Amino acid sequence: MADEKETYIASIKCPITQTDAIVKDVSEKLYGEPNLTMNDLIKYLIKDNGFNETEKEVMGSVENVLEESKRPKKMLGIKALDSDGEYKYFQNRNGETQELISPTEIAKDYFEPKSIDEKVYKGLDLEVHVTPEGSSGLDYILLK
Amino acid sequence: MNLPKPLFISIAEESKLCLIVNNRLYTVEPKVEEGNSFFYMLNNKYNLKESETLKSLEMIYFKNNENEFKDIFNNLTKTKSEESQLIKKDINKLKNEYELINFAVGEIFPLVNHKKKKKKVNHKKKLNKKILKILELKENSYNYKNTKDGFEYILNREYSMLERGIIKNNILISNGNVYEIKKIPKTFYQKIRNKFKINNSCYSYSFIKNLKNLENEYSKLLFTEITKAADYGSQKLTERIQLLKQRDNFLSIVNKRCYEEGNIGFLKTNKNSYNHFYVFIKEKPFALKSLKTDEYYKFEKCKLGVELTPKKNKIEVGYPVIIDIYSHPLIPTKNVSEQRICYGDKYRKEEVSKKLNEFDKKGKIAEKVCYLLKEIGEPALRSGYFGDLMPHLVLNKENFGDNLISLEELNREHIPVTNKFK
Repeated sequence: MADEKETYIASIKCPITQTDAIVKDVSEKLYGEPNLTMNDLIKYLIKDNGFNETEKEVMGSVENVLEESKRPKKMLGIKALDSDGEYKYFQNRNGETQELISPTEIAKDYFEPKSIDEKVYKGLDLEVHVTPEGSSGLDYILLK
Repeated sequence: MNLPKPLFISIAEESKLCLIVNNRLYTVEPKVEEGNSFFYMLNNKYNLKESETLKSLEMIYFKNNENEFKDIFNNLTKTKSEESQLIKKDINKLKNEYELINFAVGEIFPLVNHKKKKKKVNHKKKLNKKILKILELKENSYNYKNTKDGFEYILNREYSMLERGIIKNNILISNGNVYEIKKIPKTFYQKIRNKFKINNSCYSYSFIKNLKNLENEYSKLLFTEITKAADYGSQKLTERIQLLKQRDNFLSIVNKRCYEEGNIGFLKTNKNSYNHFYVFIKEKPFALKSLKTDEYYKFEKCKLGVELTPKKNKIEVGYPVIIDIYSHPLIPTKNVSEQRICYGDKYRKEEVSKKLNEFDKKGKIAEKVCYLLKEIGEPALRSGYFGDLMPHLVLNKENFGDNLISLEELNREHIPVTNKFK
C-alpha cells in the first residue's frame, strides 16, 4: 500500500553565507518524533549525511550561530521564510505578531502546505540569527 | 460485491476430507489404490492425493472467473473515478476561498503595511529543484510494477491471500469443519483421541472454525485486495492521494478563521447564517470630544474591516464596518457587531463613489480595499465626528455615559483625542 502520509520538507539557510540552503525530507523524523522542537529540527537539518561543499558551508555557518547563541546575552533567533524569501510573521500565544520562532516550539506546527509543479508537500524554510537578548521582547528563549 | 465462490472452498466442500500441509492441498480419496502417501484414521487406510499449492489454486480461481473479475474491476474503477470527481468539486469550492485569502494576504496586506518587497533570494530556483527531487523519489516509490490493469496485478502477485492472511497453520477440513493439525510423537499417539497418521507420521487435530467462517474471512480479504488492485490497475490511486492531499492542504488554509500580519488581518464571521470574509485593520483606542461640552469619551480598540465577496471572476468589496460589538456616534445601533460606519453626507458619498468606480475600472481591487480602510473607514471612526454632521447617536452622557473619561486620564493612558476641530 502506498504511503499516504504528508511529505515534510525543511530547508535551512544562513543569512551570512547567502549560499544555497540545506534541503531535507524530514517526514520520517517528524512522524517518529511529532514533538520535535525547532532547535532539534535545526540540529537534524545540519547533521551531515553526505553534504556537498555548499551544504557543508551552510552547516558550518549554522553551527557558528548555534554556538554564538549559547553565549550570555545572546539568543538564537529562528526566522521562517515565505516563498519570496521574506521573513514570515507568526502569532504567539498572546495573539501578538512576531517574527521570531522560539527554539522550543514544536517544529511540525510551523510547516505549511506548499506545492511545486502541482506536487504538494508541507514545507518550512528557515534562517538562523544571533539576536541580543530582549531585542524583540517576544517569547523566545535564551539558550543556556 | 458478490465474488465467485473460491475454488479452494468448492474443493473443500466437495471432498469429504482434505488437508492443507505446508501451503499445499491434499485430498483424501476413499478408494485405496497404489500410491506413495496414505492417510490413516480410525483403523482405515485411504489414499492421500497431492493437489495444487494454495497459490496455484488462487490463480486458477482468478483465471476461471476472469470475466466476472474484469467486470468487478470495471465497476470499481468507475466508482473511484466518480469519487475523484466529487473531490475535485470540493477542491474547486475550496480554491475560491483560498484565492480570496491569497488575494488578501498577498496583495492587500503589503499595501496596507507599506511592506517593501525584499530582494528575492537567489537560492529559490535551485531549492525548488532539490524539493522536486525529494518529491519525485517519494512518488516513484508509490508505483507498482506490472500494473497494466487490476486483473493482471492480482494475477501476478507473488503470494496468495490464502497463505498470507487465512491459512497460517496446517489444517484438516472435514464435513464443513476446520481443524488445526499438529505433529505429535509416536508415543502420544495411543493416548489421544483426535488423531490420524500420514504414512508414518502421527498428528493430532483440534477444531478451530467452520468452513463457512473461513470462506467469509477469505472473501473479505479478497474484496480488500481487489479494491486495492482496482486503484493501482486504473492508476488512479496516486492521483486520488494527490487530490486528497490537495483538498487537505486547501482545507488547512481555508479553515483559518483569523490571521494577522502586523496591523492587518483577515477574519471570517458567520452572522445570520451567512459567511462573511473581512480584511481588517486594527484600530487603537482613541477619544472623541463632545461637540457642545468639554466632555471626553473613550473608545476601545476595534477591528475596522471591509467585506470581500467572490462573484464569478470578480471580488466585490463592501463598505467599511466595525467588526466587533461596538458603539460609536457614526454607527446605527449600540452594542452590535459588523455595522457599517457612516463616512459623510451625500456630497462626500458621491465623491467617494467616483473614486471607487475609478478603482473598479482599473481593476485595482487591492488599492480599493486599502482606500476604503485607510482613507474612508479610519478617518470616519477616529475623526469623522465633528460639527457639520448628523450622527446616528449624539455623543453625550445619555448615549455614551460608560465611555466618559477625563482629559487627565486620557493623557495618563496616552490616548489621543482624534476629533479635534476648530
